Amino acid sequence: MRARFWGSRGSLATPGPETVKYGGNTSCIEVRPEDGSLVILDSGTGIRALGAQLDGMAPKRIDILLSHLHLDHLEGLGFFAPLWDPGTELHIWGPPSPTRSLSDRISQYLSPPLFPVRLAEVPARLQLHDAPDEPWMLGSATITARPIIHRGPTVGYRIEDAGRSLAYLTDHEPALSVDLSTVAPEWVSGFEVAAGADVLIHDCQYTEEEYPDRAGFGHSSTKDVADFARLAGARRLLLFHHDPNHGDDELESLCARVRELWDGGEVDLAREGEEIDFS
Amino acid sequence: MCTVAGVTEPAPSSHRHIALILAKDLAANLATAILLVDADGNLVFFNEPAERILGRPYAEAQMSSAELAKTFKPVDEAGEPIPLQDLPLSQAFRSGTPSHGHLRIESVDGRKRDLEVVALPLFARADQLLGGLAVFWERAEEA
Repeated sequence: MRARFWGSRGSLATPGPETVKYGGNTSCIEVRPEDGSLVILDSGTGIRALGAQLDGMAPKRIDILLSHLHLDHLEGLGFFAPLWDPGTELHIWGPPSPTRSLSDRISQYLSPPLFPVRLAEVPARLQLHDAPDEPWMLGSATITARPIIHRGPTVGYRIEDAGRSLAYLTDHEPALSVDLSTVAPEWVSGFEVAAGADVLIHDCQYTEEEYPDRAGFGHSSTKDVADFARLAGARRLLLFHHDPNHGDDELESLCARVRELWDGGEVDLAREGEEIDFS
Repeated sequence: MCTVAGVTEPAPSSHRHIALILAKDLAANLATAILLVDADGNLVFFNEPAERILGRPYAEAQMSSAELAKTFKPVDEAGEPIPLQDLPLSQAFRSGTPSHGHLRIESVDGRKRDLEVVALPLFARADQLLGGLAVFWERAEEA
């Protein structure tokens, strides 16, 4: 299995000299299980460049796993080239809502006046699925989705392939009202997704100083992500969903702080363009 | 490019659904007595205000709702025992809708307490019962 970051920024695309090292595009990760199938985590602005790179080489079937439907995870979808190819069979998976279908919710963005074309009009053959309760297979990979703490229906994904595992918890606030250093794991949001993961990609939007004014926004501080990684027993932690107000230097300070707080595994910043090989 | 290596471990199967986690977090931060049961009727949490009414800490009260009912000997206003299936939480589970009731219990400290109870079933989806919660408070003395 391989994974490549096409966007690691949170909340809002943030191009410019301050973000050139870690990137300004919002959430998008290309995952290639051993069988070569294409699974994409979220469709933030990074998915545009992924679609461009696929030009003429896109597999017939593409699966996009949406963590949730906030714009920074969805806004690139309309600019993903395979969406405009009638030969593409595009499966979109997302968190179930108790009240509205996934199609209704995505269409709220992909329709006028926010977007010129309606979802029903795109040429690709679309199939939309609520992420099921039970694990399912995409190519050679096994996917598990679990609801996690964020604002509105949100899921974390675990992808397992050839004995390796990737946990993706992009917008996640597991420490909301609980102390992660003392609570039993069964009561921690996202634990089941992240437990023992080879690579844990996790929200690290705030410093510990910033967090108190943003508690409840659905994101994590450096301390919370360190506590969560310790609890989950992750082997490698990639800090993700970088705050638009944090330039490259500030991100490196955040990363250094997490390394201070957790020495149970490797800690790095998710960087646009970086590729991870799980072999 | 970087590489990783490791051994994938299975996640534990006893992990709680996010709605139960959020319900527990909510209860832990409220001043109203709340107890929480899972879909099998096992007591999974009650908060400090509930501890004050029930007379024992949650840490000592790991039991099923049936055992809980037996422990606190619920009776109606006429003093007749209330069968487990007629307690508000049982009714809420059965009907899939909130239920309300009055009952008298005997706390662990031996005090009789008149309670009002509102019980709610917790559904993640229309067909997925995760558990239930009971909100309860002591009834004011009637004038």
